[in-house]
Amino acid sequence: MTMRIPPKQPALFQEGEIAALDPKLARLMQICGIELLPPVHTRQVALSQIVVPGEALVKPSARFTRSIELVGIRQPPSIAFESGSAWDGPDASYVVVMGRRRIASARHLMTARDDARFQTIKCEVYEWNAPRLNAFLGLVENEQRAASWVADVIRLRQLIREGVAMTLDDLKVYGFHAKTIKGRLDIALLPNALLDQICAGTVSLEVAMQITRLKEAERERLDALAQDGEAITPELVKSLLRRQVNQGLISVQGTVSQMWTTLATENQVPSSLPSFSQATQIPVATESSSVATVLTLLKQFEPQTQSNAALQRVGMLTRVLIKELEIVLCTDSLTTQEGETSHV
Amino acid sequence: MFEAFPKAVPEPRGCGDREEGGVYAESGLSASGGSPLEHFLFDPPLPLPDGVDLVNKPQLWQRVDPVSGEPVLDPVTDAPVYDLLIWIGAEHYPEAVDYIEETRRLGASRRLNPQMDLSKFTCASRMLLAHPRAIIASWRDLLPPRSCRKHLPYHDQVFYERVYSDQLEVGETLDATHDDERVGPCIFKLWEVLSKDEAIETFEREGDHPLCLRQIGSTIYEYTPTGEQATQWEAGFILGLPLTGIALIQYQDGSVNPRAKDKLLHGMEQNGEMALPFYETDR
Repeated sequence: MTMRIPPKQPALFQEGEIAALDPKLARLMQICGIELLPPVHTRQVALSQIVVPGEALVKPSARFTRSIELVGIRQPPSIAFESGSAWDGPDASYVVVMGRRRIASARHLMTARDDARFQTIKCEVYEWNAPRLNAFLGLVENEQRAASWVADVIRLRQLIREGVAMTLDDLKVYGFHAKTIKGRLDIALLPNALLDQICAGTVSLEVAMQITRLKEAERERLDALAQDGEAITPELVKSLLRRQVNQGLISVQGTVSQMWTTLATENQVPSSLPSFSQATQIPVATESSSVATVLTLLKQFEPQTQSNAALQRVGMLTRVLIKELEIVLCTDSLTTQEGETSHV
Repeated sequence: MFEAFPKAVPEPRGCGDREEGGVYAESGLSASGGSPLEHFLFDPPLPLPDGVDLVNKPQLWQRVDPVSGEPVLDPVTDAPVYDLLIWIGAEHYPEAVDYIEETRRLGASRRLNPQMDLSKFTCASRMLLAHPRAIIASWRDLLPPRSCRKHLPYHDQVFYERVYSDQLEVGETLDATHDDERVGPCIFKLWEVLSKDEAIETFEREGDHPLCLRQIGSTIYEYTPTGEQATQWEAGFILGLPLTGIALIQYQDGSVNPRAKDKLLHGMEQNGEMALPFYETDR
């Protein structure tokens, strides 16, 4: 193993951090098979010198690429020197530690759009490559990339307050996920008393989303409570939402009750053919026997259609008809439960 | 454990096959004596209440009396009655009709979150099913459907032709599109606005609209598109079905979701004769 000379400055971690994390960091370095952390430098690096392992499998989303195209790469990817005369030599090649999608998107824009902005990219360059450390850092970065929805709402609130005129379509063009940003925007447009509590981090995203589903009357009620200093609790929001939905469900429940009552009345009429309504126009016994006869004939005929190419379409129609007749003959019809209507 | 009760048919559906360990709410098919599905259709379909979020979240909902607003109590158990509100996604059932026709043939079977308190379901519980393309918002621009299978007044051509039969000449037709008294949107219009282009077979008919066959899962059904197009849609409830039981789909080793089973067994103790039946099956 090659002994590496410890760098003076700059390092991947600051001295204080190393001191504070020393035992755990030492253990991590041991696991990663390194004695020192690679020094890191901020440099413009030619895209052609950067290798993304398994790049064919890296699939940045269209909106991610669109965002890069629009505002460029705002956060420098991390890359590690892999081969060449020196880490900063003209023949150096680098492997991506963090930022595979950013590099892949830039490469795509270079190839597809001939976008010269991405010929070189500002990167954090590690002087040498430590694959295990790279894997660990990649995991850490992904794991800690929590959806910071409160921060999103605070930023949107700021833009709204400052009168920035942006539509949802504008935001979509800038690469935001339409549904997500609409949700955040709905929250950011809530009344101030509610928004203050949300921005203070005392309300969960689920509850905040429930508030956006409240109609004006319920929302005003909640706003008044918040203005009086009441905390927005999940129970409070849920009760308001439940009341609202119950109101809306009244017409549904009323219709269902009516349907069930009608059903109970009809089921009291003895009939062996409770299927399609046309049945009432023909004497029941006649229909039952003729339908059964037709069904038998069709079932005898249908196998012939399978062996004859000319009858292929007819065969499909026959099978549909057989199924329909079976339904009419009530071999497959929905039931209601005894006593159901008495509970309505 | 339970007397024979109606079950859904375990054939391939628009949403695929049932999954091992899954918990499925069913509205099953009876071998005889059942009522036609039309009885259970909401006609017109009913809009979703503001604020309800059903997408991928079946909801257990306590039934309230539409008049008093008070909770409905089961007269046998004296306990509140809970219904199931369920969303039918357009990713598996592009059209509401797809789900209705599948249910007509196979019964309803909808996957539940096993964390749901299944013990609250009883024989009095119902499934209220909603679809994103249930309500044709632009229905007033379309002709009334040829026939409303619920025979509701001011819904269909048949009604109008009967009412105005004494004023119509032989062979003359009636356009009731803009009739002020018209009621809608009739759910049976949904069949007429299905696309002819999506048919698996089309049978052209002289002097009439074509007869088309459409497939969803293992279900093939016929429809007669008029060529009209619905331009605006709203989500709404299309079906209110009795909840006839719960199917617990077995894992390879024959076991089922233990938590769901415990809940259902608890429900049996709690609800007595009103307990919702359940069964274990390999598919």
